[in-house]
Amino acid sequence: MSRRRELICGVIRQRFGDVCVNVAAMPSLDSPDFMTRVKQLFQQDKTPEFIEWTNASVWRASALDCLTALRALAVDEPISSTQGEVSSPADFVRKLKEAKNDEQLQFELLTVRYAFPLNFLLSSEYLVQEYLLERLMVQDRARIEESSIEAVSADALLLKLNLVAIYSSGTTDLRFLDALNYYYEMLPLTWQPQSRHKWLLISFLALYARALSCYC
Amino acid sequence: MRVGILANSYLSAFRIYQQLHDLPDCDLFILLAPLPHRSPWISILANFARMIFTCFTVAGWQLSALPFNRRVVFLPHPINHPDSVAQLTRKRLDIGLLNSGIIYREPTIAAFRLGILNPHIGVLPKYRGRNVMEWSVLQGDRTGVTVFFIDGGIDTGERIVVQEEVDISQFTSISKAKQYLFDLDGSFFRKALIRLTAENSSYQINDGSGHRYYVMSQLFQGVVTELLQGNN
Repeated sequence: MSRRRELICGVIRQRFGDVCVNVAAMPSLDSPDFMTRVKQLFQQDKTPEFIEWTNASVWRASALDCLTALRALAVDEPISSTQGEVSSPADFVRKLKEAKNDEQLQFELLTVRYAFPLNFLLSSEYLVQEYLLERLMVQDRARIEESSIEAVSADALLLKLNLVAIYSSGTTDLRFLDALNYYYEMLPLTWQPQSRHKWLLISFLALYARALSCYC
Repeated sequence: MRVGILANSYLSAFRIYQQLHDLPDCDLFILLAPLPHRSPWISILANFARMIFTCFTVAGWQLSALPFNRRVVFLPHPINHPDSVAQLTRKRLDIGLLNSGIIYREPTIAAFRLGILNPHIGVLPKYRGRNVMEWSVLQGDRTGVTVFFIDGGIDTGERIVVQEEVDISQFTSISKAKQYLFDLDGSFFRKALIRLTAENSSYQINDGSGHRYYVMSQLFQGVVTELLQGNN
């Protein structure tokens, strides 16, 4: 292993340990059962042996909705799927751009398209992956840094972070993992999101931890 | 060739002027615009004071005629304001040299016959966007400077005039390495202008094949710092 890779893996392992400690110390927010299961997963002395997410090359459909599926993925449960049909990612990005000032609509668009969230791993979703990364690292970041975390919709922000965390587990492109690093450093440790789905913060941390453990 | 240095501060523009004023076939101007959030009058007064101050430095004394021969233009509005664009258009400039962190809009760029040159501290097309020096080091790639004509996107302008690898292995901190690369802007503008005034000048193409990079986390900045320190 090169020195560069050794250094990167060293800090990633440290960060993984740090995230586990913080997850263990988190209050229950709005979903105590889910929180307990996440804590169980990360309270072990060693890195959990995660179920491998198969690198599907075709779009999958799921009987679950996006948010239920995210909760399952965050506690490393498998989710069943069947072959599905998908609309063009370019059209979808256009819709997201049209809804750029309506975060609730963006949230709904994302949850409908990624009812099976592992579809976000597909290479055909390149345009959406890049668009969400840009939104997180330019517009959302600027609003939070210039004002406060309350300046953005917590649900929309956390959903984007959850999806980017899923993609980070399946790519070697460090820009995506580093967006999660950046938000982990920026979000206050005591933050309790004012949102409908507060548990998205826990699932983000769980999926972030998984992405960290996947890299090295 | 009529060339304008686009800046917010007289001092930074003068630093570039010093490195370019003796270029043959190059009619050089300094164009000072206030920052969008700053009062134009405060900006003009501050730059006027800097101009006077510069005249009393050793380097400034040799070029002390500069403020009096209509080479310094004060724009009363921010650079993308329609009045500023109209004023720039009237100057009939061929090339603008970017020396501020402002994002330039299409009409501003179009006010220059050939366009506006940007000295980007990364290798294009691979490294677009923010913190590209750090990302290059983190990923084990070469660091360098690319001078290219900007368009409305983020480091997507197609015409690359000069691109060179620059060794930063003598630096042990990110800030010093970056400052070193930023301070090469005058010499790289000089190379670009010489190339553009030469016969049969041609461009490399920025084909957009790389990635856009973003602000780097403290976690990875720590790795970059260790990599830089490991070189020494």
